Amino acid sequence: MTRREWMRMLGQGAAAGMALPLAAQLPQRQQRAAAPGSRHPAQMGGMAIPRRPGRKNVLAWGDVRNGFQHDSVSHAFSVIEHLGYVSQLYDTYIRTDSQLITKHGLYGSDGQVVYGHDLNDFDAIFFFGVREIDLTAEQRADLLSFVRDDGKGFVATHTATTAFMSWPEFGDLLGACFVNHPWNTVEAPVVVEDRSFPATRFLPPVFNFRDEMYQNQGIHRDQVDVLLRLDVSHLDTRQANIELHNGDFPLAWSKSYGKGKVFYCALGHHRTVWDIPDVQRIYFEALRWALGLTPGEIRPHPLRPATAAPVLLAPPAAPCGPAWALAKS
Amino acid sequence: MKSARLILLGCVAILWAAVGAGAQAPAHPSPQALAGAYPWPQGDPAGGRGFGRGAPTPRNMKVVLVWADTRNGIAQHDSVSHAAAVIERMGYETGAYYTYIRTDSNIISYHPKMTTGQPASGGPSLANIDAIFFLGHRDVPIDDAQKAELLHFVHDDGKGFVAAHVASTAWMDWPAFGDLLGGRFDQHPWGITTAPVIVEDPSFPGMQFFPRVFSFHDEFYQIKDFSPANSRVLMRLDTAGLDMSRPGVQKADAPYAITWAKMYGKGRVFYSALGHDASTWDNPAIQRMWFNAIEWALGVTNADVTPRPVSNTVPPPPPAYGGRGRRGPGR
Repeated sequence: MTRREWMRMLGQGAAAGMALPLAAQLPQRQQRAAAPGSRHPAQMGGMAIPRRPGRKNVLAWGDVRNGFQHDSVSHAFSVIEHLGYVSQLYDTYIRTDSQLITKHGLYGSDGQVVYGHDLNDFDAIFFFGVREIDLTAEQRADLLSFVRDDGKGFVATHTATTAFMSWPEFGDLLGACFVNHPWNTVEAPVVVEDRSFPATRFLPPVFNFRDEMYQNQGIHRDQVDVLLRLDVSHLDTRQANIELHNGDFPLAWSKSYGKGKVFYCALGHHRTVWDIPDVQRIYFEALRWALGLTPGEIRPHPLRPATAAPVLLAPPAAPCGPAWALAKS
Repeated sequence: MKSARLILLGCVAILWAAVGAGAQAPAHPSPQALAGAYPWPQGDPAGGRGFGRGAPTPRNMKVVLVWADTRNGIAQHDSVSHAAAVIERMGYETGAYYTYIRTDSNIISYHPKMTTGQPASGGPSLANIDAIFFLGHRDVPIDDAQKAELLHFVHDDGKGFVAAHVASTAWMDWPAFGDLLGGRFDQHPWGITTAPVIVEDPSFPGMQFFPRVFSFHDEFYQIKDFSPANSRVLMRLDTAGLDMSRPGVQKADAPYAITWAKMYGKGRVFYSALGHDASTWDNPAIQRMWFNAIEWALGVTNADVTPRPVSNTVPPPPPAYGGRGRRGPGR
C-alpha cells in the first residue's frame, strides 16, 4: 500500500465510517468463501455466526482485570476495529475477558454452551493484556497452539510484555519480558532498524517520538527481527541498568513462533499515540502480515546504528469532530 | 481563536437552519437522507486530539463505561464490538466523554476485584464513571452484591444508563432490572425487516434528526412489560406497516415502543431496540441518537421525560415505503 493509498483509506474511513471501495484495490487481498477455521453450523447448535466472506477475524484481547488498566486500551481497540472495518480486511471482536481463549467450545458461567467464536474462528489476536491473566492450563495450551501449530498471528502492544511474567512459554512466544519504564514518558529518537519489513518500511530512518518507553529484556537478536530501537544516547541511562542491555533497547520486533507470526511494538501508552497515522499504520500493516495477507521476511540482525537525523512523524490529520459521521454517502 | 469560534458557530447555525428547512419537507425520507446536515458539537480543538500535555483524561472528563458482557446466553451479536467502537469514537472525537470498553463484569462494583479476589488496580468502577452504555445480554454473570450496587448507581447516585438492542434480554429473572430498564424483550416476530417507525417525541434530544415517520431496516424487537405510564415513548413501530398476524405478535405489547427514556430514582435511563446489524451503527441519525442520549444520561443536557399517553394521531405515513427508504439505513 502506498502512502497515498494509506492516507486515502484513513481519510475515507474518516469520511464514511462504512463500506469503502478501497478494500477492493488493496494488493494481496484474498477473497474466500469460508475460512478454514469456521465451524460447521451443527457444532454451534444450528446457530453458527456467519463469517463475512473475504474477511479475517481478529480478536482484540485485553484482559485488564488483574493489572493497571491504561487509559489507552479502549481507544486502541476502537482504532484497530475501525481500521479493519473501513478497510474491510478483518472483523474485530473486542474482549476484556478471556472466555474466547479456547479451542474446546464456549461455555457460560452457568455451564451452558454459548453461541460465539472461539480461537478456531480467529485468524489473529491483537493483544493489549496486562500482568497475570487468569487462564486455565487448557486455555494456555490452546493459546500457544493457536500460534505455534495453527500458524495464526499474534500482534501485541505496550503492556503485552508485562503479561504472564510467571509463564515462561509466553515469553518465548512474545520474545521478551517487561523490566520497567525508567524515563516514564519521554521524547527520544527511535531508529528504524529494518526498513524492508511491511510494518516499518514506510517510516523515516529515524524519528523522534514521545511516549512511555518500555524497557524489555530477554530479547534474542539472533531470533527476532528488531524493527524499532530506542536511541538512548541522549537519555539518562544511569537508572536504566544500561549494562544489562549494552545500550540496546528494542521497541518493536517480528518473530516466528512455530508456524505462527508474532509482532510486538511498545508504542501505545498514551491515547493520542493511537491517532498518529504512522502508528496506526504500524499496527495495521503488522496485522496484515500476521494474518498472512502481506509477505514479510523475519531477518534477525545485530544492532544497527542510526543513519540519519531524527524527524517528526506527521500529526493526526483531522483536528477534531467526527467528520466520519457526516458522510453524504 | 475567538473569531474562528464565531465563524464555526455561524456555520452551525446555518446548518441548523438547513435541517429545519429539511424537516418541513412533506415526504418521509429515511434518516439517512438528512445525514449531511447534522451539526456535530465541536469540542476543544485539543479535545481528544491534543498530543501529550493537556490532553483530556478520565480524571477531568465525563466517563462512560461501555459494558458488553456477552459471556452467557445464545444471542451474542457480531455488531457488539463495532457498536462499542462507534460509541468510543464519538466521545473521543467530540471530546464529550471518555470511554472505557469492558466485556467483563468485575468493574460493576464500587470496589472492583481482580480474578484473584484482590482489589483491582486502576480502571473503571461504579465509583468513577458517570454512565453505563449497556450492550450485555441474557444472564450477565454478576452476583447479588453487584446487582444491588448497579441499582444503587442509577437509582441513588443518579448516574446514567443507556442500553441498546439486545440489552432488553438481560436478566429476565431479575425483576428490579426490569423496573430500571422499563421493558423486556418479547421476541422479534418480524425478524429482520423494513418497517415504518413513528417518532413519538421529537423534542427529546436526538429525535429531531429523524423524520416524524421513517422507514428503517433492522431487527425490530417486540417489547413486553412496558408501560407509557412509566416511560416517555420516543419511538414506536407503526403497526400499519407490519404484518400483525405473524406468529409471536402479542397484542398486549402495544404500543410497540422501541425507544424510550425514563427516570429510575435519580438516574436517567434510555433504551433503543435499534442496533442489530453492525451497519446500523454507521447510520448518522442513529449515531446522533446515541450520542444525544449519552449526553442526556450524563446530565449534560436536559429533557422532559414525564410519562404521557401515546398519541392516537399517527403522522401521515410516507407516500410509499420504497425507493430510498427501502434501501435506507441499517443496510
